[in-house]
Amino acid sequence: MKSEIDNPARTAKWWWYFPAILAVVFALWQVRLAQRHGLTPSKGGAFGLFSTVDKLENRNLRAYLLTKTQEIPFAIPQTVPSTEELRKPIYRAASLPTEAHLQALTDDLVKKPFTVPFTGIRVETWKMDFDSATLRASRIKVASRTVDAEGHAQP
Amino acid sequence: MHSLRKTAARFGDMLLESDPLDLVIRATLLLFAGMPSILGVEWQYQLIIRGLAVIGILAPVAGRSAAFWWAMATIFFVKSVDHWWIQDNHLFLLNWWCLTLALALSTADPRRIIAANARLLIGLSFFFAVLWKGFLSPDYMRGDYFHFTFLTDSRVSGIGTLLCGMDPLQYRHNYDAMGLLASYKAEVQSVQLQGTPVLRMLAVVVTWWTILIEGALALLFLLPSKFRWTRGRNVALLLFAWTTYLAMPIVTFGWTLITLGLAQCDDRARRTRLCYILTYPLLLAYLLAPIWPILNRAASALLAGSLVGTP
Repeated sequence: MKSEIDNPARTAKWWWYFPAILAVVFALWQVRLAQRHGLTPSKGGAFGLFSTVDKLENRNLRAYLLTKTQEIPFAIPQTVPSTEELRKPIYRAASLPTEAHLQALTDDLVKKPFTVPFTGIRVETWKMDFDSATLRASRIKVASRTVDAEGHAQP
Repeated sequence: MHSLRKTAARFGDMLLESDPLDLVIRATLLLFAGMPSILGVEWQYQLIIRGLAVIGILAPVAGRSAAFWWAMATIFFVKSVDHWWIQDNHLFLLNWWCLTLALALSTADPRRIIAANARLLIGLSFFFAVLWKGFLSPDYMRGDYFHFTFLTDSRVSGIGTLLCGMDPLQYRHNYDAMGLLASYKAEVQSVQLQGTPVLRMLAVVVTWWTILIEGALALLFLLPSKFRWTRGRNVALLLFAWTTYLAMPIVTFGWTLITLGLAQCDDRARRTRLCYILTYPLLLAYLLAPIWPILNRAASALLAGSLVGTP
């Protein structure tokens, strides 16, 4: 006797499998974003979480205030109010550091009241790498963006 | 004691006798109501998802209506669009799961659609996990991922201490080194971690065990049911849950998989359904009970006893 879940009394329609089809489409899209645009494999819905040390929590954003004479590193979380809405540009720039996402973050940062006069800001996204043979953990730069004091992109 | 056993037996019977579709819906709603990591940090989503889940639990008629699940699926979809770059895998899986329930309850054959999609979603999760581990990620097959995790993740330090001779000072050194690497003030490009050869060996074993069991699960759940081996689906999934989450207690993902497992389980397989149901509290026990520290203390006591006994 067939159980209810295997009973082929009614012919299956393709749209019955629509959720599974969507799961495949989104996962393939995530793979493409990870391979081409630097998305961390741990996010985006393609089950890459336990496959690499390049997880979001191991990603690192570094920011520098550019003056005429030096580059001053500063902590991004301390300069941005800690509401979820304002944290989004930070997460986005770390997880998927496209030009647009890095620009959104620098747009927020240039508006902050820095005490030092500055000519620009540079933001960098770094990922983790680990060599099992030597036990060395290193960081590797994934992307960076420099803007002037008005927030316009610089080469 | 006798009455307690009787009550437990009656409760077990009640669960097993209940309609499988109701059971799956209730399990999903309990997951939504009870797991903060599903709700996120924004109050709007917390309020709506938890509110709907409570309504669905208290009013089973609502929980079985298609409109209810279309509303839930819409909220999960909006939440995903809002957060997809930080959202964990199981939250995407729950998106597809809500959509499955909405779609299935809109038809005359809900049980079959739910089972088919649950099976496919489990299979696809493991298929993509294996794709990443075996082919797309350069560091997994070298054992780097698990080695790094065992050296720097405090959630699994108990295993390293018990089985691999790691001491707390080595872990302290590794946590500090990782902190230095992440610090915006330090322009440090790389740091040296400390480990033991046995920990490296364990990482290699876990690397291979994980890819083998996940590969097997992908095959078992994606192959059509006419293949004989696919009868081992439930045993393999339960084995995966009982072993993997003992080492790495990730309850939300575990419960999500168990809910999908329960949904695709044959209605007549009462014992298997009972195993799935019992896996919910088991995974919670893995998280809450300090299993590895207890084993560590027991091992230390045994070792001290044998040393005292040595002339």
